[in-house]
Amino acid sequence: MANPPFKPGPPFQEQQAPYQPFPPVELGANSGLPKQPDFDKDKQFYSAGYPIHISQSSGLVKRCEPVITPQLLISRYLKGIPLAFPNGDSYSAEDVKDQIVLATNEVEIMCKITINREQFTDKVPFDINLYKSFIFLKTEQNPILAVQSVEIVSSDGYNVFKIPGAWLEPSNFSKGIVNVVPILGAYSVATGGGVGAYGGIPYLNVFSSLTFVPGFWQIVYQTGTSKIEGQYPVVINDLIGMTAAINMLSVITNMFLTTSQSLSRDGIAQSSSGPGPRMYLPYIEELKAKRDILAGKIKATFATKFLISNI
Amino acid sequence: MRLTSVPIINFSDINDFQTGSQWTIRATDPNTLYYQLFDLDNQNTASPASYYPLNGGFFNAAIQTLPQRYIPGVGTSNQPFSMTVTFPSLSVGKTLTFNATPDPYDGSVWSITLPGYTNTAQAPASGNVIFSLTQGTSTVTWVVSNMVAVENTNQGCC
Repeated sequence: MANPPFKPGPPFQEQQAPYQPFPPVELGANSGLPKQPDFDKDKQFYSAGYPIHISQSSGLVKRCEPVITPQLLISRYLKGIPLAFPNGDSYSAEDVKDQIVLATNEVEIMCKITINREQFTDKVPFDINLYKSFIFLKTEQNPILAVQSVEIVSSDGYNVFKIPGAWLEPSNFSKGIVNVVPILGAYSVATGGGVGAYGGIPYLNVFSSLTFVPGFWQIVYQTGTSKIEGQYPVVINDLIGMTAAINMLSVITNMFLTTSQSLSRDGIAQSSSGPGPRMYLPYIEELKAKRDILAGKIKATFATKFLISNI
Repeated sequence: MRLTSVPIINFSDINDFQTGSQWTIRATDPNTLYYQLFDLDNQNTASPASYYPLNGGFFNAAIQTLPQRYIPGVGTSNQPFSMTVTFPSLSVGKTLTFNATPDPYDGSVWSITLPGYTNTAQAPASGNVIFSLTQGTSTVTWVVSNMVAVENTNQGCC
């Protein structure tokens, strides 16, 4: 069954958000509920998602690819490493695929980013100091690819006031920052952009007497590291691959039980020794160190590590 | 009954194909994508049994089991039957749904045909694929994660 058009989420019922306000808000101008995104029309900066702010690419350097495959994971990080265990178990392609799913989720939490394009709805508080700084709004999720709406919406889903899309400044979307710059809209009024869409400036002045209001601005936006669905930056795949490899190696290395063996018979003896369970620990440590550095760089690229405000 | 789909690559005819972990396609190329249905709740031990060990070998390893293939539309209560394959998308109008066609010689093998897309934004995206099978009045739906990888021509940015 198709979704009612005002409901959030992809067009499959089981993937929708579990809560809808009651009584239901009628679809129409008064509805402040998130609508299904239309990425071609939602407000965004005129550049790709990765590299940040790139507007044209020669294509000579590969920076994007589909999600890492089991074959690619083994080729990049696990060459020469046995994926079978003494008891007959082994990592199948499906098992490796599952490890990639686990690692993808780990990376999202670790870097506080959304890898694939998803839609979110935040309620950001009203802060008079941030309000005076061109309504500086920081979203919970990073990096923003497109903003569908910035509105004042009542807790039961009714739209009170919507900020025109022309006022939204998209150049800091990649850092999870939305600014409202009505001056630019006012200029376009002067150049014939029309008055109706920009009639809210006097309305915004009303709020200057407030200091702090929780859950004031409702922002509906899409985040992700790529504007092309299903494409991941190579560095993200690198991080996913390393995380999956570390998880798999942690299991594999414990299968090397013995550190030394000796065999003697009738005066002839042979002995050997090895690292035992520490077999792959140096490689794991190396991967962990590299992963931590890369995770830090990715966080710095796709998110803001700090927020300055006036308290 | 929990069905799943296994992608088929290098399909020549019903006696000559290989299964893979995912389809890899190029966004602008026309493609016929094949897959085979399996029932995850109907696991049989080693089919054909003579090819697998009778016990788990050392350390009591589990005996290898394989899900049985599933042929839709068997029996009068399962008529009529049809199947769709969906490539989901977050955006309005970008979700692509195709009607699948069963192989005339093996009803567990199905295929869909993708046209060549001149605009890569209209092509399916890499990731999960959703299958929906209707038999009589019953419809079952399942998702196969990361079943398709789509390569783009310009890989310099995304």
